[in-house]
Amino acid sequence: MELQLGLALPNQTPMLVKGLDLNCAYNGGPEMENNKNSGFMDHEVQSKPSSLLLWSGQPNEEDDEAPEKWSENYQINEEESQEIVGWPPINSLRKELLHRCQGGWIPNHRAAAGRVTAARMSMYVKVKMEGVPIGRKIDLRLYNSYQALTDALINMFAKYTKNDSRDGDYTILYQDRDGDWMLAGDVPWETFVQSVQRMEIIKNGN
Amino acid sequence: MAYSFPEEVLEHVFSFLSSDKDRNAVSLVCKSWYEIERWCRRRIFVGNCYAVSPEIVIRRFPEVRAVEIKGKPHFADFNLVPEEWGGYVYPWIVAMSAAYPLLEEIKLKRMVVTDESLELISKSFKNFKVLVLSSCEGFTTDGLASIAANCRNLRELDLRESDVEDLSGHWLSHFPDNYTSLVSLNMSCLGSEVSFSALERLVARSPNLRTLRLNRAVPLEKLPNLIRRAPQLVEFGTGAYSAEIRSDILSNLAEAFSGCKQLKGLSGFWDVVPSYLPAMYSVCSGITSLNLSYATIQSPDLVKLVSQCKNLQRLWVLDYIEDSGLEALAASCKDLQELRVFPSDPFGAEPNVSLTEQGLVSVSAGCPKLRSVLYFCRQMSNVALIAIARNRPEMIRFRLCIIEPRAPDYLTLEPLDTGFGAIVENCKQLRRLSLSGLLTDRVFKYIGTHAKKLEMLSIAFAGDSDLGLHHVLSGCESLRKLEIRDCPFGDKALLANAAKLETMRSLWMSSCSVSFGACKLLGQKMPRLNVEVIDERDPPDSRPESCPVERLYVYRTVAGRRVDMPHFVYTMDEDAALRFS
Repeated sequence: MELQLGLALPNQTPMLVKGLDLNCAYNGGPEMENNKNSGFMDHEVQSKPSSLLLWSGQPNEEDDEAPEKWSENYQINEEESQEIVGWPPINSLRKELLHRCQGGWIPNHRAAAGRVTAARMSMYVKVKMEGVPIGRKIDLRLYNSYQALTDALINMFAKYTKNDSRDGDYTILYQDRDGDWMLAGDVPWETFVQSVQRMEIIKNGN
Repeated sequence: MAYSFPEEVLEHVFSFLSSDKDRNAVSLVCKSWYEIERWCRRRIFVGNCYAVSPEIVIRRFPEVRAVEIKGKPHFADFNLVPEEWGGYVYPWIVAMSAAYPLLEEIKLKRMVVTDESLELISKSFKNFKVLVLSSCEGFTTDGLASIAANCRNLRELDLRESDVEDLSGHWLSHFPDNYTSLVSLNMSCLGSEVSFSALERLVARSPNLRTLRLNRAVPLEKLPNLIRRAPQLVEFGTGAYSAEIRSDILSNLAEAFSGCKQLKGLSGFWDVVPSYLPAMYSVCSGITSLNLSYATIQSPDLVKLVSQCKNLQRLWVLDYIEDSGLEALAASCKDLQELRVFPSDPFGAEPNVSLTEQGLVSVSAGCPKLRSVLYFCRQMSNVALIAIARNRPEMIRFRLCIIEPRAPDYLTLEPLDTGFGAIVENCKQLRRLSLSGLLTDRVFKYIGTHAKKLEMLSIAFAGDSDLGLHHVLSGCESLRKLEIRDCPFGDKALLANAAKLETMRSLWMSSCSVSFGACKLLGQKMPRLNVEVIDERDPPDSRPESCPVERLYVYRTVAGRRVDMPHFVYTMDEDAALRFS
């Protein structure tokens, strides 16, 4: 065995220790007796008198199964839900605020937040453009018409499109509350704003 | 000769030593210096409220005026420490209220502070001046009302990122009418609306007010009047920075801002409407600190704002800034020392912005004073890390979070060992490091070999075996705090380095491979360590000793085991050994 035990590991018979002096413990340990002539051991005992176990210099040879066990745990965790508790490491307050920023301002039930009106709500929805790998989130609250929205989107995705793009070149689809994909512009703006879950910009003629 | 100095002279000399480290060193010189020093120590810092008892502190330092105490482990920020774990400040306040009637300052971090504690503070210390509650919880606006009502000399009330139960916005009106000493007020964490007229009156009668951080409930329309009453402000945190777009509101706000010639720090900007950002342009050249980490603005608007802030030293921002924005930052802000980039959509599977390793490389190349980085991103490469390390060898804090656990170098699919290795090898002054991405034991060998000044290390989803942890514990000689989650580190590395743990403030390990038996052994043999197993399922002794424990928190202490443990915390000491065996 590579590992030199100064004190018993849990699965071994616990050894009686005289007082709390860990040097005594080492000197009294049967396994120490066996290794008394090893210079390495003597050195280790002197320089690090209170290791409870001497490092062998070799990685875990006996517990090869440990990493496996641990990755199993991780996967179970992952299957249960996509989110890992505490990861990514963002503090809960920031998470809550971020959530409020993106999901609209949900007043704290304890808060007397009566004056935080719907008008100040932010309404973030995701927008993807066909053929562009990275989507965006936009705040619908900042627009008041289909035209304003279309202009903003063309501007936002400008670097992925030809310089002379006009709004006629693209069609904006959106997914409504029921999960159906619809054509933007078919319902009044207000109805659209209340229903839209995400948007996609499709190039015409495809 | 030193021994002939009168005590008063030494005391006077010691008074010039402001760092805790120097005071500690002085107290170790001889018995007489120890005595003199302890009687003139005015400030104390307790990095772990369970490492010492209030009684021990008071016995040694009878004349303290300022205390700073920290409670829960850092991972509590990420919900890894169960509610009710502990970190209660009340026993400290009770003891100090009797011993330190002249106490002026209390700064707490991650502690449970009840209204009762706040009331006791407000009534016990006649000359109380500073209360900073950072990431604290357990109190309400009623507790704040007693502070406001009773602390006549209060200068600073800072609630940072505390979780305050908002019962009423009227607590501000409890500051008496003749109260004029306020210098700093940070209530940015409060959810509910504050009484605006009380706030306005308070600001108007505080000629020394330098810092004012409002909460989200203060609307933009109210800002001009407030700022006009406090043109001396140095740090200002806005509330919700949005309103219907009207040119009169914009010009009114712009004019108000232009009166604040001293402004150095800006924060807040909740719900920001970018059209209102130009209102601040007139003060941008003086700004050194900008916290836009709650401002959901797109890159072009961020670039416009940031590039006006030529003297910026600290920027906190969401990843909406994107690589292109960071490139602009690198080009225009040559004094930048600290950059934090937070994720806007950390749980989304797909990237929602174009922010990669490139942005950080640009900043490291363009900002020669950069010392501190916190960066969330979705891809990283060894090449990029090596470039950053070479660009900024003066780095002191480097925290990188690649959002997907165990993500390899996206170019080569190799582990990121060499990249982080380059960071620790080049950055000799590195004190804080957070690792992420695919990492093997090799990275820990680099860390143990090179990171000699490292004080705090955070590890997640990394390493292959005990060897990794062994490298860190045996190599990092300045290490004080180590926090590990989801790594295959176990008994051998922990037990082999048991003595090291006494030199550190604390060790946190959750979802690792440390067995209950090893925890017991550690607790029995190291009487100056508190070894606490946290398990919310059922008692760890109901399983075989070789079973790994859920969470382990080990810290050194001179106070013995704590007495306020909840049912899911099991302490491993000799009594416990008897109980469990």
